[in-house]
Amino acid sequence: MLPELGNFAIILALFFAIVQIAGPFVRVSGLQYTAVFSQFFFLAFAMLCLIFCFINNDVTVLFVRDHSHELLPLIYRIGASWGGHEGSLLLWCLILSGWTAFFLIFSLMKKNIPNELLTKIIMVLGYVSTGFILFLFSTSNPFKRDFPTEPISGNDLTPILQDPGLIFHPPMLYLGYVGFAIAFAFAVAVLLEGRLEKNWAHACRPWVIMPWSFLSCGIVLGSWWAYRELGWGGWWFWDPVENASLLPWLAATGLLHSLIVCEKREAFKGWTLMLAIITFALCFLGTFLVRSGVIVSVHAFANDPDRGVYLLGFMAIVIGSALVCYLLRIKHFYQPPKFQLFSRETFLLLNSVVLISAVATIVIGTLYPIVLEALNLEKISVGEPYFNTVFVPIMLPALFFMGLAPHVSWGQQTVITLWKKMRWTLFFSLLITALFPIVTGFEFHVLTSLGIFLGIWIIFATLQLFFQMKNKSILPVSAMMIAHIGIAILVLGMTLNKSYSVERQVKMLPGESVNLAGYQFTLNNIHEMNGPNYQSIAALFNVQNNRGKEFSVTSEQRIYLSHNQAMSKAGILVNMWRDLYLALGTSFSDGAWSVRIYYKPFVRWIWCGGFMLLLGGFLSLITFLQKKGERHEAI
Amino acid sequence: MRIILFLFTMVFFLSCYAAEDIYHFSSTEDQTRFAMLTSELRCLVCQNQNIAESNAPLAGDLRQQIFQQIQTGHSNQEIVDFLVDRYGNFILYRPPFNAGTIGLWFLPFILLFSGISYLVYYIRKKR
Repeated sequence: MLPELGNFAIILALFFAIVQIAGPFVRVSGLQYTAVFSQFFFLAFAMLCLIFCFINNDVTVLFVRDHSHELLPLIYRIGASWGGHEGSLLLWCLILSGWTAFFLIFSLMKKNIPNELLTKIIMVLGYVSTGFILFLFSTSNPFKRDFPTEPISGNDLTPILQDPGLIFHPPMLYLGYVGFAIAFAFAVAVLLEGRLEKNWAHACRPWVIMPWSFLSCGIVLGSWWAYRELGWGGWWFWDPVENASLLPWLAATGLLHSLIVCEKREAFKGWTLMLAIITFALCFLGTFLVRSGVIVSVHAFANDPDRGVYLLGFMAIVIGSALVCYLLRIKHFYQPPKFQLFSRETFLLLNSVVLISAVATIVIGTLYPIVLEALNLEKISVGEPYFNTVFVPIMLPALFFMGLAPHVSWGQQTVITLWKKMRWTLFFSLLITALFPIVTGFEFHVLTSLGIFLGIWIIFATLQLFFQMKNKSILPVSAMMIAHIGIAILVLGMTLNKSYSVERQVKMLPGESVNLAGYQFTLNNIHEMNGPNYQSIAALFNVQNNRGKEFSVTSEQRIYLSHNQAMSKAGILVNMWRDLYLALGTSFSDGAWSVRIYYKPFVRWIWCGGFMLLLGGFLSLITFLQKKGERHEAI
Repeated sequence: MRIILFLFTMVFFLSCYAAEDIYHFSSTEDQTRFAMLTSELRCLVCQNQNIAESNAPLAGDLRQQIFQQIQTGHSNQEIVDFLVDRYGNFILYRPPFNAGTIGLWFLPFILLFSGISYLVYYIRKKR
């Protein structure tokens, strides 16, 4: 009964999505808005049906049969409802309609968007939503049933997904990914209108900042999950699926900055609209890459070529029509630049150029092997060494400008005043970079020093802003400061981790020890443990630092009963300055075990930096809400 | 005599209780080479993993292969050439520079350069 209700709810949601498109043509007051909320209601209902099917472990539903098992713990059953293609797509649609409903309520309350425009935005969103719900219903229906003649049990969720990461990472990522649909719809609606309201950029900004914050957090959560789960302590592999989430993030970062110029200086309007389209196009591309099966990835998902064709076709229609709108209407938005070459505007444009080049690099790196293979030319792999050689040099100057740009004036600036303002900051950043290897005893490398310099430079230059602020409200600036410092901390974490991580692979018998990076690791004992749906061999290690302090940590090899597949569950000792990461490998005939031990300095900084982006985003949102409030009081 | 006996037990003690490295290198330089090579080569049977990190049997064999070649004094280039001969360019995470990959290596920089040039042109144009 439940699956049929869910299925019916999807059909109703599809109907309301179509009504949402028809809104501007059928002038029945409130019809379109009702459609938005009804659609959200029915998709939420469908999602709940699916979750209950999982909780009941209803194996007559094919999607549940493929991803659940009677032994699977409840929390992962709930997570499993988006742990496969069909459910994850339902989540996609649900989040899209959720954003739409939230946007609508917010805009109706704030009254900051004219009705004409609002109707058009909702229409464009309806267009996207219809396509996705149709896709869900026709090619990836999660409620498809099959009644087995004899009792069977489910295939269970892939062990690699059975982790708290599954509960948080996909919804967070989708909140980001899908949220950019609003900015896209905004841009297309503005193009359809053919004119820009004065407060357009201001009204659009939260709809870029919120998804951007969620996406930052989602990417960071994904990296943290991979770090713990895949058993080698890597936090980024330039895997196509990871790239797919980074692409819209980079474009949205460009959009975020470009919108500021739009709002404050009434410039870059055309370019900002273009960036909004590009950002959502990249979300589409990401969905296509992940869901179609054209890529080989470590994050294995269920794939099917038919879905790829549908998604590609739908993407061509949505993005293609947006681009046609753009080409037809863009001349209305063109303005000659009203600023000098050396000005904050130029730096912010430069930011866009660099970020879009970075996007292009990743797109090229991800798609090139696919294209070469499709043309039957050659089979190549593009991985970390390529991106380190091409992507990193493109981003480095951008990081330097990130510290500098907030100090440059709007309109124009002379080099000499900027130099006078920044020289001491530059000097101290260089000084600390030079002192770093001497004080800490870490080995000196040129590229490492460059990374350290950029991180410290951004932090100092950003803090300098704080001290130079004269009786201005601190909140608006602090959002930017926290986000920029977050990036600096991210850069420092990545640089130091890449440069100074050390590891040993050893063969250990119980009672034996190994020294690494000033720690002594002793294998205490090996014992068996039983989990809810797995058996594991657990190795208990004692770790002693050079001041004699002791810790203990367990590293496991789990065998999941339903899959008969071994999974390494690393033991990790965490603090602010370093992680100690122990992964249990295979056993030898003499009772010894292979163990990989990693010392990973500053790895936490990477995730701290990422969470600072989320924090910065939310602060900026508070500013947005507050500012409006103050204005109302003033009136 | 006692001292010798003590030293002897000490040595014995140490050798007994220190675990051995699976890939034992005589110099740290070789160890870095091993780490670098295994991280830049793809495990051919995995979804998308390098051979340093993969648990697949093939990756283990390749690690052993590279370890032995380093021990017998082969240079990085020789080892990579050997593996490319056997498995093709697909094994390299750093794609080779050839006619087919020109776009891969140059396009990003061309795009960046033309973007910046256009930017300067756009701002300067009005004068």
